[in-house]
Amino acid sequence: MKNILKYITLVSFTILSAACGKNEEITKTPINKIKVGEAYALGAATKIQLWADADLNTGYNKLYISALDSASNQQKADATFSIKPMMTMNMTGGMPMTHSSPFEQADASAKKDMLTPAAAIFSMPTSDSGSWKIEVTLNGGKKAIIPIIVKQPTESRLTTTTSVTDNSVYMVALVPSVAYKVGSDDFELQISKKIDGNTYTAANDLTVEITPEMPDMGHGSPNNVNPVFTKNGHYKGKVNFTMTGYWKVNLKIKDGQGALVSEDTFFKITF
Amino acid sequence: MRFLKYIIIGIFLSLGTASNGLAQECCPTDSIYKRLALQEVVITENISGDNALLKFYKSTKTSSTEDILARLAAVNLIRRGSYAMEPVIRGFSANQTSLTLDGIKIFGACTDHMDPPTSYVEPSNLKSIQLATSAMASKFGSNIGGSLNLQLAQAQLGTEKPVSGMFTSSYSLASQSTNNALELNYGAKKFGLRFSGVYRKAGNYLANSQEVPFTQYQKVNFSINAKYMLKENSFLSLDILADDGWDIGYAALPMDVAFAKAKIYALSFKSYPKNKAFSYFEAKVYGNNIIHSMDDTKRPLTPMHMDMPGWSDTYGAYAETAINWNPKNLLTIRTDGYSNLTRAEMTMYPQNSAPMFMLTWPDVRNTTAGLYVNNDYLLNKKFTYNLNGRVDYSRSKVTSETGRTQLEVFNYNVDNARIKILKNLNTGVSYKSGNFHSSVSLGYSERPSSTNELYGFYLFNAYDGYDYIGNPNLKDEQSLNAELNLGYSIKNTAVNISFFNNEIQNYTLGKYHPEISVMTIGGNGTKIYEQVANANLKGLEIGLTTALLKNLQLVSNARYTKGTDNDNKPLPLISPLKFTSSLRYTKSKFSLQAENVWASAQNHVSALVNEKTTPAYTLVNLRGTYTFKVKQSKLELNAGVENLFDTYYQDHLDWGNIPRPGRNVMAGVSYVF
Repeated sequence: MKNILKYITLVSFTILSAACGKNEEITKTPINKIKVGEAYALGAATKIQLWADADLNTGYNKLYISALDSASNQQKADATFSIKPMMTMNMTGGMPMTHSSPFEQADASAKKDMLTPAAAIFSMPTSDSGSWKIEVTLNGGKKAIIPIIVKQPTESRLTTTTSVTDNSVYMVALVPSVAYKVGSDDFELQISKKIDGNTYTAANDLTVEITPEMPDMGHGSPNNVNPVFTKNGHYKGKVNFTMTGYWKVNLKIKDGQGALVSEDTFFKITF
Repeated sequence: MRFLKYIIIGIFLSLGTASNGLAQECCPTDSIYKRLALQEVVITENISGDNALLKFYKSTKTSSTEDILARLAAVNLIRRGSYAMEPVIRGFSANQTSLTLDGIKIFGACTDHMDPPTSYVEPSNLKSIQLATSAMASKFGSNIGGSLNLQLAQAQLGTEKPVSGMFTSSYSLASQSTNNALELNYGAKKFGLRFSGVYRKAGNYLANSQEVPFTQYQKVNFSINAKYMLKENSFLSLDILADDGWDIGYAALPMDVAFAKAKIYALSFKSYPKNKAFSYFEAKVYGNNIIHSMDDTKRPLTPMHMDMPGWSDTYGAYAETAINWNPKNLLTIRTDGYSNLTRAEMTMYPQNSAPMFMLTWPDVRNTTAGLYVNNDYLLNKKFTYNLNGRVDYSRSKVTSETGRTQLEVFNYNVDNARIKILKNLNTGVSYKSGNFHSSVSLGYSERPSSTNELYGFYLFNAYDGYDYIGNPNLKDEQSLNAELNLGYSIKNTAVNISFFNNEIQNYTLGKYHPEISVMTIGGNGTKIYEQVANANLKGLEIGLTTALLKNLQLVSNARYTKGTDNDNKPLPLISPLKFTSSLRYTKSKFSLQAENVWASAQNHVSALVNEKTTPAYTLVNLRGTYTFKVKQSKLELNAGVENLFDTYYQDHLDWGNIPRPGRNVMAGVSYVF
């Protein structure tokens, strides 16, 4: 109870402070969103703003994009976007290297309250050796390069696994839940297959089994619902937590042919 | 005084003694039927004379409530430690029976039945214990297994001396325990005040000269009754009772109890109108608040520390009246209602990891309202016909969001309240002619499912080593009851025999689910409450009182119950054949009592709950009393040896492999003024 209260308080503070901070900048503040970055699309007289539900973390992050006219500071309602995350790594004694990460392209059809949703699965946090930018292309033309900060969450929300069958590399991201509770919780994964450092595709033909476990006590929980494919590499299921505390949700993943990809990956969830 | 005498005689009747100047020829009274269906044990002092039966029930002035209950032939006790034993009536356990304190509903705050309501009262609080089986049992609530109503002692008005009382203190060697009680009564003409205070402290007892760890306890109990006579035959009465136990060992469980606290309070109005038709009216409002907290900090091998507090709050009221609506009929109407809220938590503290929290009782509110009607019809001088029934509206609801979501794990939807109508119907005939009396009764009854059975969440049962999960979709248990009583009495000797048979439908038990992992470290698995079509409990009780010589009396009873489930397999926790005999010799100021308890082996055990067989045992207890008169007061010295031959034994209803106390020498002093 105490934990839940603490969590709720924390979340509401985050929401409140986020909401307050933004009021002065633009007239229409996205509700419950944090601005994680902004930059001008050079030559388009437009400022692109990037919003998120919370601070950006390694793993799956929902992003929301909006465009402001530089002169009038008004929302550009008809703007369309496409994104690409980019990581620049400062190699010691060498040329900087860039690579991308899996992402979900901005979806103009899902635009709501002037915000166009997209998503990125950041593979690592911002650090001395590397930094993230999101390249946003406005109306298929001018680009804005928006620097962002990606943090490492206390509990990893992303795991990379190499198939024991064919050495394919998959990035398995846990789509964060607002608040875990004792009971039946949504459990959603986004899984991407790596083609190369700049190219990932949504893995849509996998089967996933989940087995929650409480390592401190050695028990699990009953009646979990294995995540099943919905779209764009997303798999949705239900995980049951019989108490608060530290849980480990073990994953067993098989590919489209039923061959084992991995059975030693897991997510730690503490609440 | 006269009233007390009346009840004392009532006991004799219930066990089958002849003396019967009571039954009014004109109208049926409670006693006509009750003497066969209801056993009542008077406890409180101010009983003059030397009464073997009373001494049988209450062997010493510092006897506990459980000591008295254990001697009732229909009652056995489940023992998890040397404190707070749980009464079982004819093989029916807590969920199946009804337990009230002067009509007050009390629900323990422990998920593991470590605090049956009987543990929150002391004989010093009580006037009498009323045990009802089958026919009369539904008066205090829907149940299928019988009822126990513990009547609170009341202040006496218009006493000879303004202040009277009793102080008693005793010491037992085997457990180095001390038991102390003080009772005071102030009786003015229209106003009376009664106080009782009890302090008990026990260390670990010895068995086979070995200390049995975690059998210690301490408790303090206070009660106050204030009674005011509004006008002749009308009284206003206030009861306040506080019971506080702490440092209580439960040898058979993996945890002890840090504290168990109860506050019980009631305000009642009673009237005995002189109007002949309308003979009795009572109304009461009450409340009780219980906090119970388990403690594992003293156990050496605890894998992980946990806190397990529980709360139970009950508020209720009832009204009852008795009407002689014509010379041959006595009608009793009772309406009652209560609301109970229970919550129990478990927080586990792993090393270097986050605390783990769950609700073992998910904030369950139970609201029940009922109506009970009983009619006794005097057919003729020999036959009385009885018909009674009860209807209860029972509503259970998980009231917290945490509790609600938690049960989603088992796909239980508890958004809506569980509402049940419980029905009880009983009928019987009693017959009395000369030295012979008998009664026969038939009944149908239903009982509400308990919070454990409906909503319990990973409740570890140390008896079979399984975690138990509730099931909100349970049907209510039903029972068809039949009882036959036969009694015969001649001068100085009375014998009574009761046969009973209960056919239970929707018998509730835990079913093992291997696919669900056990939560408790070291547990055997997880069970979910489910139901089998039927079960059967049958048995008999025999009571005998006789005067062997002028100064030598024998009181004896025997009990046997057989329980079988759907597949004709034994039900668990059924007491084997047991004999209790007490031989009492009295000469002027001196009395000596020898007592024997014999229990046969129990080899009919339930494999479903890993029940173990128990060997037979026999015990001998000796007690002696010497009484002085000191002016108007009485000083009584007593000494005794319990388990004289230091038998190493366990009763079948004792949990765990924990021996009972070995030879125990005790001595005490009482001062009655």
